[in-house]
Amino acid sequence: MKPASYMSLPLVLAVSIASSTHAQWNVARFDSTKMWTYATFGLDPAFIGSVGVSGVIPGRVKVQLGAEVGSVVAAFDLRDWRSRATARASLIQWGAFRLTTEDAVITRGTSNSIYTAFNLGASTTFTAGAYRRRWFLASEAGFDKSILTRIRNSDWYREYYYADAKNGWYLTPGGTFHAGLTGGVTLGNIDITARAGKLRTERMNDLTPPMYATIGAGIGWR
Amino acid sequence: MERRIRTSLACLGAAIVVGGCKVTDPDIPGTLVPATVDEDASLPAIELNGSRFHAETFGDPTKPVVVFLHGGPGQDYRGLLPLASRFAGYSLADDHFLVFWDQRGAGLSRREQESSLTMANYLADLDAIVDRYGHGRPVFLVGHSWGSMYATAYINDHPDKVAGAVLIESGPLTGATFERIKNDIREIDLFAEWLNDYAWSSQFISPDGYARMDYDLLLGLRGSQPRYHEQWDVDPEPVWRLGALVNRALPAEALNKHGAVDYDFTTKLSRYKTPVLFIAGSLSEVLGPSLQTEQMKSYPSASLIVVDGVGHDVHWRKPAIIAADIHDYLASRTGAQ
Repeated sequence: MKPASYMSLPLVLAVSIASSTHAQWNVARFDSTKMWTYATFGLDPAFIGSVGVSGVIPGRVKVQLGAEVGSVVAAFDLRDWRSRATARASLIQWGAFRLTTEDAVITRGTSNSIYTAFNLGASTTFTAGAYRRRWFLASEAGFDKSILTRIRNSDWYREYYYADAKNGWYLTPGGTFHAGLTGGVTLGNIDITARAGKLRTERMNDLTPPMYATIGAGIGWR
Repeated sequence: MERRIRTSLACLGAAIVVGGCKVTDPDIPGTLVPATVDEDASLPAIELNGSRFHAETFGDPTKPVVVFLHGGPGQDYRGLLPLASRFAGYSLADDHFLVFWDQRGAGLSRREQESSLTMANYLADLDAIVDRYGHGRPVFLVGHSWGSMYATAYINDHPDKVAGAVLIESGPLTGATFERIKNDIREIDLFAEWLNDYAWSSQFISPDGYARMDYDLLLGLRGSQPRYHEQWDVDPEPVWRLGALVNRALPAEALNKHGAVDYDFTTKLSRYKTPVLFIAGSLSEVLGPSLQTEQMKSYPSASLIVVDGVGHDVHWRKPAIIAADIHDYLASRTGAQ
């Protein structure tokens, strides 16, 4: 990752004035709040700050569509980035209890000492818990799949370690499971959310770091 | 099931990658990391103690045997090979039989299940190497970093099988020493570039399968040990391939029920009267002269050479000096000139 560039300043400011990466917004407020703008920050799986917008599509089943972009804040390198297009909906409701889903199409990039990569992925997360208009608390579990990754091995890696390392498109080179808790409170038209849990690879191997923890703040309006 | 999912995703991949770009499986040998001896029959290999090892020898097998032990656990012998080179007309292979090998689960040796990656198997592997090449004669051991710890653990168990040892930048010989310096070994700054690169990488290539694990671990090498003062940007000590699983398994085995590192490779060293040579790089802050001066006391007879101007990768940066020091030591033990 390269040192900070002036281009990262808006992101840094956005992160500093608000704060998850993919925050779980309160599905109980989909009736009263149509749009959110938000910023998130946390360990997921590196330290990343993100900004995004989302809006509720009216209908019998209310679906919240969103888009967010984020960048790893350590060394403020915009080449370590992620964007997500999301769809959230409440699947089952029984009183305050809800089962929700969030599905996302993900693109992300990275540049490190041994490779530069562009990735196309997808994720799905389910939550189950209590959703009230002023707060919610739910357990969450999901899977994030790296479907296709374009890898270009670095000159450093090829020169000093493995000259025959192959550049190109790699199919399904990764995937991670996550499971934890998510919650949030509403203060006026501001939502504060948090989520934390454990991470595992798709074959249940350990990851570094083994957990995620993010916070987010969003402003909602009708 | 996994095959079906992969096939489906392959179709998706073919549809997405416009122009028919070739899509590669990261687990195919030789794509991201070099193939192991099980995957490439052209590599020099030996079989012993139920595993298959990448190994090379240099010199006359009737001469005194010197077995080299690389660092890690999980690195390989590529960075030690310059010690077999010819400097000013002389090579250690002129007077000795040099044995280089990648340890169990490391380098280009066979990848093994975690249950096989134990200290007991490591000691049995080295014992089998000593028997294979020593033919009943004691051998010399030359270790770097973890390799010096490994050598000491073996000497502790088999003092009569070791004619002498050169310990270069030895890692901690006891768990107590490890616990004392562990925060200096690896810099864990939550906002460090290397750590966030390492964490972020798991979304692209998750550490499942040996090849991906080994590739991924290389991200943890550069920048994580600044106090070792190694030459990472230009001319770093090379490895063919790291062994990620053994790099995790052996340290994990050393943990006690309280989570502290608990081992002692020095319990019986008092009976090993043979002089041992320690070597340290003057710039090495963690495993350098200060620690080696302390660790020498574990052996009844030991001396220390400090090489100026280099860090932990002293053998890579100054191979001529290290080879000369090893030669002088071996000559003093064997009577060779």
